[in-house]
Amino acid sequence: MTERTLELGPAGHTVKVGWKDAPLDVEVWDGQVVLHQVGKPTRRIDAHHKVSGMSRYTTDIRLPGMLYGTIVRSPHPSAEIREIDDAGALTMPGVRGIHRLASKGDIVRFEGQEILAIAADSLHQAQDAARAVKVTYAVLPHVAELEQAMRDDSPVVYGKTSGVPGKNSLPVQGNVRGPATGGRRFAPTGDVSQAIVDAKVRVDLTFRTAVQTHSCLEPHGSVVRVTEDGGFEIWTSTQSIASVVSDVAREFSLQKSQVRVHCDYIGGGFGSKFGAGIYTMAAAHLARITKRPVRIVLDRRAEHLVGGNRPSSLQKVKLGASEDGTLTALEVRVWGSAGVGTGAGAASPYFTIYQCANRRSFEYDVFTNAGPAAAFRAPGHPQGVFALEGAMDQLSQKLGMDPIEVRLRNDPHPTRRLQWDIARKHADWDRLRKMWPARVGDIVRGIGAASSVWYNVVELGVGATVEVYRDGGVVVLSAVQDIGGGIRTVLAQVVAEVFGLQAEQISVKIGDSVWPIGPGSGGSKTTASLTPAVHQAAIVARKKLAAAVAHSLSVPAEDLRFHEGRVVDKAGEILTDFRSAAAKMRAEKIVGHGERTDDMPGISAAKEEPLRALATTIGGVQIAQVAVNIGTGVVTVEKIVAVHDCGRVMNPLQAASQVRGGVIQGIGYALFEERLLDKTTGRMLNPNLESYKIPTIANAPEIDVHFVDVYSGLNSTGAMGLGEPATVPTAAAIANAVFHATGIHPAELPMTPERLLKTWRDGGLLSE
Amino acid sequence: MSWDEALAALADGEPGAIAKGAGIDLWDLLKEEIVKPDLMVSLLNIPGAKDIAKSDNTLVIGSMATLQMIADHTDVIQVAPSLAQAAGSAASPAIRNAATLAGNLCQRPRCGYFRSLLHPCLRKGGGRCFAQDGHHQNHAIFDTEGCIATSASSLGPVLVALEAMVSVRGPGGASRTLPVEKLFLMASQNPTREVDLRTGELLERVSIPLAGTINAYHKVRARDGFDWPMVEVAVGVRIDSRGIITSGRVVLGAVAMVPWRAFETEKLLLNTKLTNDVIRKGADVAAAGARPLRDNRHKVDIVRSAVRETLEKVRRIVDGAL
Repeated sequence: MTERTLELGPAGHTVKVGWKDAPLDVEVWDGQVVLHQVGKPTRRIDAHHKVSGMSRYTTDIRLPGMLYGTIVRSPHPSAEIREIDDAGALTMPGVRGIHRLASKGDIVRFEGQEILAIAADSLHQAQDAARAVKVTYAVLPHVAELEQAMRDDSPVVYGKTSGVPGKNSLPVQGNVRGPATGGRRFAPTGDVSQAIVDAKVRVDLTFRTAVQTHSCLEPHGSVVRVTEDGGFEIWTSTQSIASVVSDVAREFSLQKSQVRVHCDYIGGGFGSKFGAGIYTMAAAHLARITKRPVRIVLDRRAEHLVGGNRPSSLQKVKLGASEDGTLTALEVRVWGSAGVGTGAGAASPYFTIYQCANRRSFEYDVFTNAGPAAAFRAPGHPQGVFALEGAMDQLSQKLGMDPIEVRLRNDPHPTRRLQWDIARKHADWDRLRKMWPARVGDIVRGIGAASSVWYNVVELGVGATVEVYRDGGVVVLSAVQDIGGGIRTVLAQVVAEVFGLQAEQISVKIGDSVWPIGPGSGGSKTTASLTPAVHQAAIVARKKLAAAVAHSLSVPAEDLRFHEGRVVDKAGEILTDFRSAAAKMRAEKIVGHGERTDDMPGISAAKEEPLRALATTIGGVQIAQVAVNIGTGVVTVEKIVAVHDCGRVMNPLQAASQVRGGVIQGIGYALFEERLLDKTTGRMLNPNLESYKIPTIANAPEIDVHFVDVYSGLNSTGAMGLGEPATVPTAAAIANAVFHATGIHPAELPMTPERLLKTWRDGGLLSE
Repeated sequence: MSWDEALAALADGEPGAIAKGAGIDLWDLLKEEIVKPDLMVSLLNIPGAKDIAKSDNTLVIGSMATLQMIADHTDVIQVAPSLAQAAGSAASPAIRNAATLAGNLCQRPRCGYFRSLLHPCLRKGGGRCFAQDGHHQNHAIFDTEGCIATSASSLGPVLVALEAMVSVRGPGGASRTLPVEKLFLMASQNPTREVDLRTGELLERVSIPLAGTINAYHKVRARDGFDWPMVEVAVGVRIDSRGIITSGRVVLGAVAMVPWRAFETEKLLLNTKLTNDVIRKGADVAAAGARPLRDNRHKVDIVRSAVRETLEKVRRIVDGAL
């Protein structure tokens, strides 16, 4: 134990922070350390495999003797099951087994709810059999829309006899559950009602957002085989291998060691691929029944119906400010529908971006007869930030102030303040904000900005192994999965850094539960959770290697250094190259293991705000430039400037890709994506990728990405999250740019031509 | 296989036989279980069916020519640039490489209610149109009493504007030729069929007169690229040496079950020059007679904007030609 000084904070603005009782053997990458591999733009090590089709996704897995499963689903959004007759289906050609997922007397509450699963020799035989299953339903009244479900005369999704989901004891009235009013983090402060009355300038606004489905290009699916020990081997598309192991072990009362899960590649998850899911369980049951491997992969329709979604929202926002733009009152009431599920709150960003003395929130879950929501890339945040930042821009207009200036007046976050400077420079904000709105023909250009926020989420207890072979091979092993952020490459960089090698010299083995447990890829925590464990494993392996070869090199182990592919002594004298050194090992390989233990004090030790905020909160800002066609209502996003932070930027190339992905997904949320449920039947009208519109590459604008490195000292590598904050502010910035162009804030997502033209007609913009 | 052999195969397979081009729409319909044929007869390999050729007074396009072939063909680009543009901007590159002219003209509407087997709608022979009080943001604004789905063909409006003729091959080699305009059926004429092809008839080719028509096409869609239009406009005009319009057609797409001629605009353009004033007035009357629904009034606005854009394109061509 010793006292150490770390250099921490945003790059260029670091401070020296003392760390008492620092463990001697921990190497911390802070602002002073010089790194060669980590932080270097490094091409994805699996890029070639992905673009050449060599990567095997779950949907590519074909096992000998494998059966194809399909799931029979309820066509009704609300009904009681009167009878399930599958006797005929069971005798159809090729059919090997049926597993029931619902029973007579059960209530179905959304279209697509699972009734039973069938396994057959071919998919077509399974589908034919599915059509032959006779399910008799007593159709019940349903409710499809949020605001309809809030009315007193609405059909009720959960009657008295059936359990409302959610563990806490919030009041339930009809379909409306809540309000939740804070909890530890978002406790109300001050006197909001009085502050609104007293405010010099105030806004009172309503915003709406639609349901967005995850629309992963690779659907949910699993291939399941019964193993010799009575357990299962599972290939699945998951963002948490560990959660699939746990779920299946629990369902079948197995030891976790009896469940082996593979996931080499994932074609998108975005929060919807946690846990085993009904499809995996059904495939496992069918594999046991039929004694054959069974594959169940959802089709696109099922993806939309049951694959998860981002809840809708109705947000009523009140802001009050003094004449200089200081926020004095902030109130939000959020109603959202997560279908039959919960978790539709969106109040978090109202508490985590701006300072405000008087603040409160009311969050309500509203049940509707639709498939349950799932975590979706920054749950609650894109919708919350859309409304909060839309309100901020309308407040700025009333104040007669520049919207970024108003933000700076209320935002203490040191990183975000730096990011605003960078963003406004690269977006040419100061000039364009004055020059625009400018009209040429029917095209009006505008520019708008919005803040992002996310949090330092970490999964402790995960581990990794690093092996060094006598032939010089270095391997890192982890049961993590690569959701797309590129963790494979980052792990190679970290190990290469420790051994003084190049990233491409490291072999990375991930995606198999037999290796040390990895973090789930949700909450933007994969890199921050796993790289410290890998770092530690590599250091342990390096020490063992040094000890194993020191004698042959006639240098004490503690004096050996690994640098640029060579082994050198304390004085920098080259002793040998890495491969020759490894060849001197007696053992065939040495193994180092590392685990992610507690976070370090890091920047939290700085004690004072504003730096202390860096310990918990990730920033990010985006500025959008749009061209609005006021004749057609079509909005074209021409440029997004995105400035983000994720602790230490481990690989700028991949990090920029992740930001671009977040921005493009945000453009879909802003302009196109909307689940359409038919009011009269409750059925989804666009369960496809033709009329449920996600952006194509043609809709991707110029995306100008910049990073602010932040050295937090919170873990040994300094990594923090990025996947979620990258998509949080995009829709809000686009809406604010449309507001700048037209003088009317869109107030509702997605900003379809129909909605915009109606808003402009009502607002008098089209009267000329 | 020849046309007559294909016709014979279809006749043998009746009922339950269906002709197939690239199968782009057909596979959707099969997946959605809207059609359940016992026999599919592919027309793709009929000799000459993909040919595009210019004769003395017409440009002939075989019905199995792909959208991409049409978009790229020098004669099409020269004679009917609006057709090349419509073909080249439909759907996605992958679909354009496969989808055929006949398939584009004969595809079934994209209405989400029609495409859902769970909605027994008018177009599937059922009793009601669910879109009337459902989601109909991109449905018809003309002929909106019954089924309000719209034609999905982008080539239809262009071919009508170009006064093209379609040749239909019937049983026993009997052929008939009709204007493309007559191929399409209004929803109020027949709510269950979109084109006037009788059982056992196949669309063999389309002929475009080489009449020196100045033509232009403009499409408005919510998502630029791989999206169905909200409104599209095709214009074909003839002008005299002074730039005065002697005849012309202005045809709207995605607003009804047929390519919809904006007769008021056509009348207004006749014997005028395309001045700013004429263009504005022409655009203003283009949606005359529209009966929009609760949630698609925006399409009336878009028609006005799109017609103006298209007429401005025409004016630029006229200015260049004079």
